Amino acid sequence: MIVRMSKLEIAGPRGLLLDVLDTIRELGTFQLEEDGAAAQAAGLPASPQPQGADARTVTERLFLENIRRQTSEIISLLPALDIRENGLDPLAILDTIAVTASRHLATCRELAERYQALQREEQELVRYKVLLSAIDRLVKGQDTRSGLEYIGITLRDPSFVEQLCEALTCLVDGECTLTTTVADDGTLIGLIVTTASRAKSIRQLLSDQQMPELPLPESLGRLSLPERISGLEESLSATRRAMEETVAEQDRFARSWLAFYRQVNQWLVERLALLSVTASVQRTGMCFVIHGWALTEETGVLEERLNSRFGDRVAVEHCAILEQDLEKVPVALRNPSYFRPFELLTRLLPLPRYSSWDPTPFIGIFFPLFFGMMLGDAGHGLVLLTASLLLLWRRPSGAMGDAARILLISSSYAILFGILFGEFFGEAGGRLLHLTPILPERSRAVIPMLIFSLALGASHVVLGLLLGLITDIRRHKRGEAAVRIVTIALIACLAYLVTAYIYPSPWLVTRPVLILVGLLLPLLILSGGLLAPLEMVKTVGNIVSYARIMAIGLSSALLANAANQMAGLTGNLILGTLAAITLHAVAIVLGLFAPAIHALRLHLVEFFSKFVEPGGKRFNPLHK
Amino acid sequence: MEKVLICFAAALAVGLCALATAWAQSRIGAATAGTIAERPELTGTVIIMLAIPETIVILGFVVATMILNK
Amino acid sequence: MNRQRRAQAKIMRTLLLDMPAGVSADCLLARIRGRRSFLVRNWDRLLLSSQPLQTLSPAPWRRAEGRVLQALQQEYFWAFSHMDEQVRRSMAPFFWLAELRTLAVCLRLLTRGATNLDHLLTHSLLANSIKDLLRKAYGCAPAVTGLTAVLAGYDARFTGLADIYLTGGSGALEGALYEISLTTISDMPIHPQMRCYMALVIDSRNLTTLAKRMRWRLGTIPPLLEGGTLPPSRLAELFERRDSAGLLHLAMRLGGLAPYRETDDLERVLYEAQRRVMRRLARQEGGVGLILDYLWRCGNEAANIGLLERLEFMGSEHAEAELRR
Repeated sequence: MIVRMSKLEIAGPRGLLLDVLDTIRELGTFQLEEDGAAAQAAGLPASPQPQGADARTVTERLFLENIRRQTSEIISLLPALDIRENGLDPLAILDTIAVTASRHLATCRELAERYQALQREEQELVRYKVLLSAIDRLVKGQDTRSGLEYIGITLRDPSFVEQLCEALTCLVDGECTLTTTVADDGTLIGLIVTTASRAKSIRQLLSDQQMPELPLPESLGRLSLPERISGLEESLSATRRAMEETVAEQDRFARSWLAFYRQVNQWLVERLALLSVTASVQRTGMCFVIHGWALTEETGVLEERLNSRFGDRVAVEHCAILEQDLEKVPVALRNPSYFRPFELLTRLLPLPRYSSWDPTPFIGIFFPLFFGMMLGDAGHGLVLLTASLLLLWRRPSGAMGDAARILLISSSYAILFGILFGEFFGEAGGRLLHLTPILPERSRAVIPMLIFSLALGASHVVLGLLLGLITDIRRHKRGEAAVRIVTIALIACLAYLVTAYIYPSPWLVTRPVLILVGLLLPLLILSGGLLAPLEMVKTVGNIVSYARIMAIGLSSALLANAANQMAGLTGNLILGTLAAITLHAVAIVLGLFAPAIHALRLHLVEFFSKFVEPGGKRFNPLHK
Repeated sequence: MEKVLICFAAALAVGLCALATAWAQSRIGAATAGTIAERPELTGTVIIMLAIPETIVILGFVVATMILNK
Repeated sequence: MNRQRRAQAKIMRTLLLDMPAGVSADCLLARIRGRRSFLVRNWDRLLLSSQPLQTLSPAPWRRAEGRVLQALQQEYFWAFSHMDEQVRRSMAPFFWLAELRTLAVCLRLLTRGATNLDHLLTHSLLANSIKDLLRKAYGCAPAVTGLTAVLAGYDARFTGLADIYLTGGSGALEGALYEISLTTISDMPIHPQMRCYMALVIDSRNLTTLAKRMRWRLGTIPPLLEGGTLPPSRLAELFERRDSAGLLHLAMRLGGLAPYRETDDLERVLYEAQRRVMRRLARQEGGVGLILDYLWRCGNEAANIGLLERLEFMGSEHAEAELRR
């Protein structure tokens, strides 16, 4: 059901605006009207760019936004410690916070940058270590005291080795050797050993080819290779020590300040949210007016709370919901617990308008009915019932829980119709259990089932049209109401004629009804225009579409019978049982999906299109 | 002979409708998968779209039943 | 001859990345329709807000991390990876032209001595052979030589690229690549909707070249590209007469606009014409037009956002004149 809404107007002195909004947010039952049109109707200036209208608010927002940005950055820069928050009111010391926050931010940034720099240095040193130890392996094969020069290079591709060899041969005429090895991280390292005199030209060649010599930190540049490696070790451990110190410093800082900044940040976020809400509030120099919506049954609590907190300084007034407001009224659905799971199915559609109907109760009544009629097998229904109970055993929440509850209700209907049709895992099972079919057997009585389905469809569609008619009358739409009345009358006439054709009887006189149809058709065109007959044809098509109840019911009955027959054909008890279980499992899976989708479709396409007007806005109250 | 023809007509009524439905559903199904990937909030509309062509085969089935029961 | 041309159309695809086929065309079109609905419709309204970039509603193609042009490249990659081979072949000319930008940026970076191009090439649609060439090249010159060899194998007209680079530098190379690509595409048998788009691109390029030359009062007529709807002889005639109003008139007619409008901004008129043509293409059967329209609009949105980013601190009124609405 669509819950009744009240249109409220809350007015008070301007200084109380934020406190009033805070109270409203605490209660969480009031939705602000975002549109300025209501204010214009009340004779107040609507502000198209509310932030621009009030320089003081903008300054306040910018000030708070600035501190918020600083505090969040401080929080993100500090290690995430789990510290208890202290109780402080940030509003009183806001100016002090503004000063300290920027100072602390600088400190935190510096610490973070220092840590990052150290980290980078550490990574580089580790890489050098890997490369140098690879070179060390190469150098070990050489005589290091012969005055030769060693040039280490990294090679990006093994194919360069050959290229480089050729180039070196051309350049220094064999007065050098190139050895390669693969470092621990997979980089290809080359070592060129040459005489001191040739080293310069080789370095030139390398820089021409954009193959940089293995770079080393400057402090290590002038040392020999083994010295370099031990130097590297030293600087690595120094860097790691410095990193630890930085971390400790950050930790000290976080312990004394993190809790404070977290609290300030939280307060700022809430304050800014409040301020952003004030943008859609109408204000004059002295007072404010808030327009909005609340659930009618909850307005009492809201009024009471505002009254107890602000006394008669803040006034709450109920306004009448006008015709032009109907488009804007937010929609909240509330249904009895039996129907509530079916909101899962109505959520597939856009929300209905406030002046329209909530489709949930209707789908709650008819969906299980149609499902049961299509599945119509007590055995299959029992399996699905057990499945739904097993699902509910775990107390699922959300969509899963709703789906399980819908399955529970629908499978109960399937069991009921199974008993009426005399089917328990097919007709054979029914006979075995001595179930006497109360309704005609689905697998044989095709035409009676078809007529029954169509009759059901006609009643369902007429119900939809009647509901639409009620909406039209409520909203004083005479033309559309007239079309619906004529359509209903025509459907009744058609149903009468079809009955007279199928069951000819002297009591069913067709001539006057035919004349009535002849009179109604021009009326239909008069009230609904040239397209109205087409709509009528569509409605008839919708009714014919209910034939699927028979068609799917028949196929599910035949599937179950086929499963039984095939199991019987095996001629072996074990094999037959296995075949029966498998085939019935298939039938149950099909029997779950096909009836569910088609029952849903009958509602969404055929039934709801007659009376549900989509396009409602969800009720979204201000809340913390 | 007449019975054969009647059965054949019924088979045609269901078979052709089933083919048409299958073709329509294959295209709608592909489009549906794409739509849901981009806008999951349209799932409901899309399920309805997918079930719409099934009316063709159900009507074909009804016609076939009527042919056979004549 | 015909067979050779058809083979060429297939090979244009070979210049692009080879990957397993994506989803069926129906599915892709539905997804593109879904994504299209997220594109910005009203730039004027966006400009009214104090911080346009913050009020920009999120769109799937901008979900990717990084700069807006990278997001655009990723969106093109997404679209390409979801196509089946047939659609990929039809769309190949568009993607090749789009990838020329990646190619140009890579070459510029190589000239500056950059060694790691992965951020540009990861989501690039260039064929792996071209990507490898760019990744392994030391400097721009070897890359251009390699590229010329690859492209000359595809079409003989690309043979002179290396010489153009040597004489004119990378700027001339980029221009030549684009023009030769357009000429090659206009000679190929391609999808009618793609043909329509390419004719639009060629016409726009011819018109802007002529208008620029007229504005700078240069005497010689530049070489005009064949393959557009406006015959080069007619354009040459207008150039001889220095008839800039005539050019504007032609540009208006291109999109079926009423020929008289109170503006002398050729680019604005051309953009309006393109927008109309693309909208018409998007409504045509088959889907290639729709995909083209979507990718084209993503490109415009990326350009607009780039502009807004640059002008964020200068005030949005500067951006207003240049936005593609």
